[in-house]
Amino acid sequence: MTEKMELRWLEERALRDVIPQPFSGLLNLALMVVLSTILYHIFFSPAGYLRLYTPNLGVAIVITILMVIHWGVDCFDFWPFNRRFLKETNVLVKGVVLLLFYVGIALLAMFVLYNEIIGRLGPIFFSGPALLAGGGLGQYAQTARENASYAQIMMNTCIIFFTILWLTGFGYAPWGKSDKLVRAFSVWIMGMFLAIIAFALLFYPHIAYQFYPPQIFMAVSPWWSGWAMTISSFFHFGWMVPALVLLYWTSMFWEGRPFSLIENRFWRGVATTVVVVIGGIIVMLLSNSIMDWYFDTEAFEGGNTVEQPAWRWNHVAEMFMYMATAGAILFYYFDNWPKGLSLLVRAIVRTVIAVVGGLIMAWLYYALGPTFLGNVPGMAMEGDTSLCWTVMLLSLVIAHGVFFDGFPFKKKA
Amino acid sequence: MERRSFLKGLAVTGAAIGATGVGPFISKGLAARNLENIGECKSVKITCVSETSWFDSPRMLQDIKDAGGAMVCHYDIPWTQSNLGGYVALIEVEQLDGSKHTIQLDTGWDQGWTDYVMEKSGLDSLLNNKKVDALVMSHEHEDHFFGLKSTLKRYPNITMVIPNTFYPEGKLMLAGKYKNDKAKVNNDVPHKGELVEVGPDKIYKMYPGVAAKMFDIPIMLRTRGEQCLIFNIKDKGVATVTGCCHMGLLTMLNWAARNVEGYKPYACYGGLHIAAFENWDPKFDDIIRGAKKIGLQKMGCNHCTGWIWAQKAHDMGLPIVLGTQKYKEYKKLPTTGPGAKDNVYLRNGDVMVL
Repeated sequence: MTEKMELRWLEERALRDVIPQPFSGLLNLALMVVLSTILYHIFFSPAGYLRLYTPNLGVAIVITILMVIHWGVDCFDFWPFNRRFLKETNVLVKGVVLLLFYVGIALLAMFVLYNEIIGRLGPIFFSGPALLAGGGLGQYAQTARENASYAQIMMNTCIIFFTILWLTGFGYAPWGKSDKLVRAFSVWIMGMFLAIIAFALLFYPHIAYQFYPPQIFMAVSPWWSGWAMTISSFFHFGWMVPALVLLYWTSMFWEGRPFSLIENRFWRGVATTVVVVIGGIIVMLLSNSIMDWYFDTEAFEGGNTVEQPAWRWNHVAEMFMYMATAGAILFYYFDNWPKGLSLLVRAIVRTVIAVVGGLIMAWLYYALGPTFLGNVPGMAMEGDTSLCWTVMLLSLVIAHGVFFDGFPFKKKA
Repeated sequence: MERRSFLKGLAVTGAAIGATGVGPFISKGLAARNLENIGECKSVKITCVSETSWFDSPRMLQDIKDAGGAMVCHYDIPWTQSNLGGYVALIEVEQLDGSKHTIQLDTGWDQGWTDYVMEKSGLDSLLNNKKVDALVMSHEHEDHFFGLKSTLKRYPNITMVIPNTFYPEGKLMLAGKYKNDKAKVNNDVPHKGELVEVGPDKIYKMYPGVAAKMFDIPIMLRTRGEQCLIFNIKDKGVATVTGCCHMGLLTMLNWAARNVEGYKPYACYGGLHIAAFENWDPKFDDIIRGAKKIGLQKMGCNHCTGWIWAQKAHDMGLPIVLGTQKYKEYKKLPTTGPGAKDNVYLRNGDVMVL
């Protein structure tokens, strides 16, 4: 199965640094640090203005925005915007239009599709307002919104994962010879189709047991508890996010390897799926063992704070999102350094930079967060997660690199 | 395959890593600990002065949501004043030699309610007569701390034991120099007695068989650190008394098991911060299953435990101590707690003897 397609916009577009590296990258990074801190304070910080980090609402917003950016960039190759618009429009105008377009779609998805259509007419647990209107024990203003946001976070994470998995593994197969729009819609629908199945198997039992009494006719008791030491579905979130990061790095750092060695698209897709899922599970369990050492205590069933298994699994996702963000900074701001060496060396160096960069970011988050982001010092607070900040920053870095062409310290070649 | 089997497999890898020179890091978790000997006491009597911090959970959550959610600072929320109560417990410890110590845990929230429950329980006369040996603050949360004035106006020289992580607003409260019109909290009576600030690294031994242990943890509503009281009761075992127990019941007991000499699980009393607002989460089922493995003999719970959790735990065989009907004699009743089919809370006016 072979595909013959025109170049995608990001493959066609060429950028150059306005000033030499690493100054160009460092200045853009500094700009983004300042900008993201201001935006976090305006939109999310508990000490800021809109205070959307409630916490789950804020996390749901940034993950939904990331999902829509992936749809627009990776799936639809910027459709409905044409090449003329992408090539000729002033970079700031283009960036603002694209960013507002995708953020607008994300907000429509959350506040209209989930809250007012899906949640009102079908599975109510996707809608905070519907849960609140329905009433019942525990469905109060704050908790209803948080529970619905949790369901949205998990559903959208599944959608991101399976969309990127399909594109990385299967490409546009089996629609490779179709029109661009047919291909895009096919992959978009396939990503959601697989996500719905995954959500039903991996997260829906959690949702059914999130209510009192448990909705025993709606879902089985969470079947993973023997492995996970918890019936919380954070267990699956804990492997899915690292698996997603492996997919990011396959494309960005490893230039498609090792999966691109498999010529047949079907088998390449199967191999990608198997390897990243197993890889995600292995790194999750290894990460938990590292946390056993770091915190000097093991997680156990019913434990709390750093001993809580659900927090441990979520923290794996948090750590890998730091690394994904560090990786995106390397890719978009520092021209995916290094280049020119053998692929193996390039891949190793980039991966090491992303891992170390992610660890540094994590340290900075916990050390400086109380001063700059309004966090309480320490780790493992009930409901708290760094994902709101990291996913926001990751989305901003992608938007800056892709929509704004890395302005002002990069420009079109 | 059980997860532990997988970890055993990893241990083999760990041994190989140790041979390569990073062994000192791995051995950190295996280092011998210095067990704390906190002595023994004869008995402990706990009176629930008030466990009703708010009367209506939907109202409480609406206040939190309107202010920006669970991460917003509790000093920055315009609380609905008619909904406020407070948490206070009175603990009487009998020593092996027959002497007694009296401890007040927390200071409530609404001053009108706090004054009322203090008078109803007799705590007010104990304070007026300086018969309370120590005031232990579990943590800085509004419902445990904002009613400070009710205690200090009766006994400003009382010895106070607080976590060493209080925010500046809390310190100003202690100094009698705080007034906040948004959250409607104030105190103009300065604390004049001894102030003991307990950090996470060292257990604070108050009396024989009585100690305070502080956990430096981040807590929702911008609060940091919570301490519990640990009692080692002769021939019975270790009992814990908590305000909210944000550190988690099993994490607290796991710490005690690893650090208190002669640890034997016996009992717990207080808020356990599980299903505080009648909301449920699958993680809460984990706590029931985990608690069944601990072997506690008596569990007296109330406040932020969540009556759903207490009822579920009771149904699944945990030794939940049932309350009496005494709470109905109080002038105001909560809207939600009576929904449990059994009286699974130790409510206002109830007593637990250990």
